[in-house]
Amino acid sequence: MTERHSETAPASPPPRRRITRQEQEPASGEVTEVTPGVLRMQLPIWMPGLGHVNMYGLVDDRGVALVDPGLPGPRSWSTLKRRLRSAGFEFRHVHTVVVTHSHPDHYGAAGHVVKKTGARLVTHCAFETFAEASPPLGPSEAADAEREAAALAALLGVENDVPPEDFLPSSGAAAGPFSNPTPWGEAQSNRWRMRGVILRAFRRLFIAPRPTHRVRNDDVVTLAGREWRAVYTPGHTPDHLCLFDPDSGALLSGDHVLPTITPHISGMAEGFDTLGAYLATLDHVAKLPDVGVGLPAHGHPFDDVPGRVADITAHHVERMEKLAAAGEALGPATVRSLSRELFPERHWG
Amino acid sequence: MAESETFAHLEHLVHRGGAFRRTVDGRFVYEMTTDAPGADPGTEAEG
Repeated sequence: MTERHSETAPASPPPRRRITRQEQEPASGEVTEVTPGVLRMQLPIWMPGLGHVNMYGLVDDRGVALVDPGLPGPRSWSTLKRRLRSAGFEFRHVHTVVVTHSHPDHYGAAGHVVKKTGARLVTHCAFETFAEASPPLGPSEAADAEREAAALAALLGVENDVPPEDFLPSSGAAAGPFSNPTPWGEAQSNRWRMRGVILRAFRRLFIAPRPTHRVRNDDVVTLAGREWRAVYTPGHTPDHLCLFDPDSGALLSGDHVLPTITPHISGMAEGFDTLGAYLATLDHVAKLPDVGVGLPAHGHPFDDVPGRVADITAHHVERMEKLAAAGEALGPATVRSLSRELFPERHWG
Repeated sequence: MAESETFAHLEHLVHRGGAFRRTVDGRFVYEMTTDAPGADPGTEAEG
């Protein structure tokens, strides 16, 4: 069979000035109460395309629960300690850690926090990280490993419309995009292999998080004096978890719904409709009764969750239409050749 | 990232009946059907 493909990249639009999106803003030292009993604390991250991760503190009479305590490594750890102190807490007050999904800017420090505090660790039941813990690093080694990973990440540049987070293979997706060849049978690009190198650097830094409470959709998690409902939201990762408070309408949306960036959706394996799962669960959170403020893992709290869901859905519908048109023009084509019809060269790989 | 996201979109198209997938020399090759549909955001979530 002969595969047709274009010889050159699609014409790129004229260079445009990059706009810093709110998800790319550097971590602020400000601690803000975004809804009663819920504190927003920003931690620095050095993954390309993102400037901070929101660690939420859910305050109750027992102390505080931390949602997504950020990257592993000395810099994030020292900032986490400062943020806790600014909020009036010490590690002894932390009774729970919640991780929304298995990306290292969300779970990376969870193992350290649990080890330090004895807190319970709440995740979705499908939660799985890509690696077991490595032997503990000394302070100097940890600092070196963090610098190494940050330098590699910087080489990848910034992609405004595709948050360059990595899919971490799970048992349900035996191949996973980091396998070589990829699930779609083509060799990894150099750019993709670079991400694997970054993840190996992560692996040197973190303590493997061991969930003590694995929740399922609609389970109740009582935190900050509220009964949060677990909302299973696969798509960005297979184990993504949102928490919804039906009384206030607050939605801890993780990376499922971000204020201005379209969350990345990775294909996982042959026959698994990742995008279908993502779109269905987007629709689900938009229809949560009286859903109010969205509390994302990156960027600022936002009011119109259904409106933002509509925007993200429209993006995917448009992308599907472009893909179908490209496929009709090319005829039989591989993932790589179709991808190059849709994305400018700086996004290839 | 572009390739993994394109893969996700293509697999969605296959599930929706908008494309066929074959394996040729170990690589997935996709071909659109004549009435390739777009995304269907209207299905219900499953827990």
